[in-house]
Amino acid sequence: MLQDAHIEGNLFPSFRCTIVTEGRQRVATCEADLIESAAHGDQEAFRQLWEMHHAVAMASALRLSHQRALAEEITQGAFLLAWRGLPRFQPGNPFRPWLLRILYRHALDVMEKQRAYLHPVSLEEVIELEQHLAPGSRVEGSDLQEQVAQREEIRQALAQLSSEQRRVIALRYGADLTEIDIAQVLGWPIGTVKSRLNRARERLRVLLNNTKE
Amino acid sequence: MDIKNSDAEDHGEKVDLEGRLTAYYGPALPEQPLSQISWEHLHSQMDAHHSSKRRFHWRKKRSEAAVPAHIRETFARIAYQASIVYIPARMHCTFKAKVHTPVVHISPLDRRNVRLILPAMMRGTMSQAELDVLLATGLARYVCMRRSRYILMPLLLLTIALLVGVTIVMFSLGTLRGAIILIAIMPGALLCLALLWWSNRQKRRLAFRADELMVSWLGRSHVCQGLHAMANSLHMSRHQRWGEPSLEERIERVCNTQVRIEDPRLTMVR
Repeated sequence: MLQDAHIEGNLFPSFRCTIVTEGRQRVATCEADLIESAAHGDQEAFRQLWEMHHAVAMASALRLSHQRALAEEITQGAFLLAWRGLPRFQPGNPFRPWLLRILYRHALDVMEKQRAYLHPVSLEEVIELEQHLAPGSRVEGSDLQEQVAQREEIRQALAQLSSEQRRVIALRYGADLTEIDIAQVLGWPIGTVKSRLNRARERLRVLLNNTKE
Repeated sequence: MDIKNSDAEDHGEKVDLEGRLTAYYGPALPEQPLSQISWEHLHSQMDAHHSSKRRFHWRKKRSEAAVPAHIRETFARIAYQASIVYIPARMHCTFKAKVHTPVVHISPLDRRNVRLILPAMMRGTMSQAELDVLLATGLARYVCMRRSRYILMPLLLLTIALLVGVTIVMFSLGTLRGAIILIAIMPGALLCLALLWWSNRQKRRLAFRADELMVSWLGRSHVCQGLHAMANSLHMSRHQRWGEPSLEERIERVCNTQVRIEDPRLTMVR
C-alpha cells in the first residue's frame, strides 16, 4: 500500500502527523488526525479508517455469526454506529478497541433480533470455515458430517439459553474476551457477568449430557 | 477411588464443554477484506443519515461541525458556573484561522442554540487553563455584549453613516448647494471619527469587563494561569487587533503583575 510512497512535510509534536504521498493520493497516517477529521464530518477520513479496520472487524463478526452475509451486515452496521458516535470518541484512545466494542454489542443485538441461533448449521458453513482456517485444504466427507453434527448440537443447546447467557458465552468463546472486557462491552457489573457465565456453562453441561443420554 | 473417578469424569466434562464451545466458535479468523461495494453501501447510509439531519436544519452551514469533546465539556462547565442554559446537542462550532478569540453566539429566538466560532489553534492540544480562559472569554464577552450600551453604538454609527451617504447622493444629484454639503459632511465625518474612537474604548472596556466576569466564574488564580499560558504559547498571535487589549494589559489588570515573556520583540520588560 505504501509502495512508491515518499514522506513529505515535517513531523510536528503531539497532534500533527506525517503525510505520506502515494502517487496523487495524500494519505494521513496519523489515526488521531483521521478520527478528528471524521468526527467533523470528513467522509474521506472515515473511509480511510474503514480501509484500516474493516477486515479485522469482518473477521470478528464472521467468527461470532458464522454467516458471511450476516457478518457483512454486522460490520457495516458497526461502522455506521461508529460514524455517528465519533463526536463522542475520546481523543488519544486507539480506534480499533472502541470499534470492536461497538461491533460486539451490535453483533449480539442483530443475532438476537434475527434469531441466528435458530438457524441450523449447514454444510456450506462448515466448509467455508475450514477454508478460512486452512485455505486450499480438503476435508474428508465423514469429518465434515461429524463437524456439522457437533456444531448443530451446540447450536441447539445455545438456543435454549436465555439471551443474556448467550451473549456472555458468545463474547467469552467467540471473541476471547475476559470477564472484565465482557463487563465493559455489555455494560454489566463484573459479578453479573461471572454469575451468568457460570449459569450458562452449567445449563449447557446439563443440556449436552441429556442429549448424550 | 470412586470419588476420584467421579472427579476425573467431572473434569473431563468441563474440558469437553470448553473444548466444544471453543470448537463451535473456532479460532480467530484471518482478516476478511470486503469489496468496494460494501463501502459504497455504507457510504450511502452515512449520506442518508447526514441528509436527514440537514432536512430539519436547513439553515445549518456545511462548515459547521460537531464540537470536539474536550471543548464541549469545558464549555458545559463554564456555562454552568455562568448560569447559562443551553442544550449541548444544539451546540455547533466552526474553526477559523483568522479568529483569535472565541466568539459565542446564542440565538435570540431560541437561547438554547449555541454557535461557537473558534480559533483554528483550538483544534490542537493546549492546557486546560488556557482552554478554560479562551472559552470563558468568548462567553463573558457575549454576556457583556447583550447590554444595551453595546448594542446602541453600532446602531448609532450605522445611522450616521446612512445620513452621510444620503447627503452625498443628494449632492451628486445637484439638489443641494456645495457649501451646505461641506457644512453637512465635515461635522459628520468628524463625528464618525469621534464615534470610532469611542467605539474602540468601549470595546476595550467590554473586554476588561468580560475579564472581571470571567474571574467571578473561574477564580482569579485560574484565570491568571490561563492568561500566562496563552502569553507563553507558541501559537498565540502577537499582533494587536483594533479595540482588543493586549494579553499583557489583561494580565496586568487581572493578576496585578507584569507578564514575563521571553520575547525580545516586546517593549514591555520584566
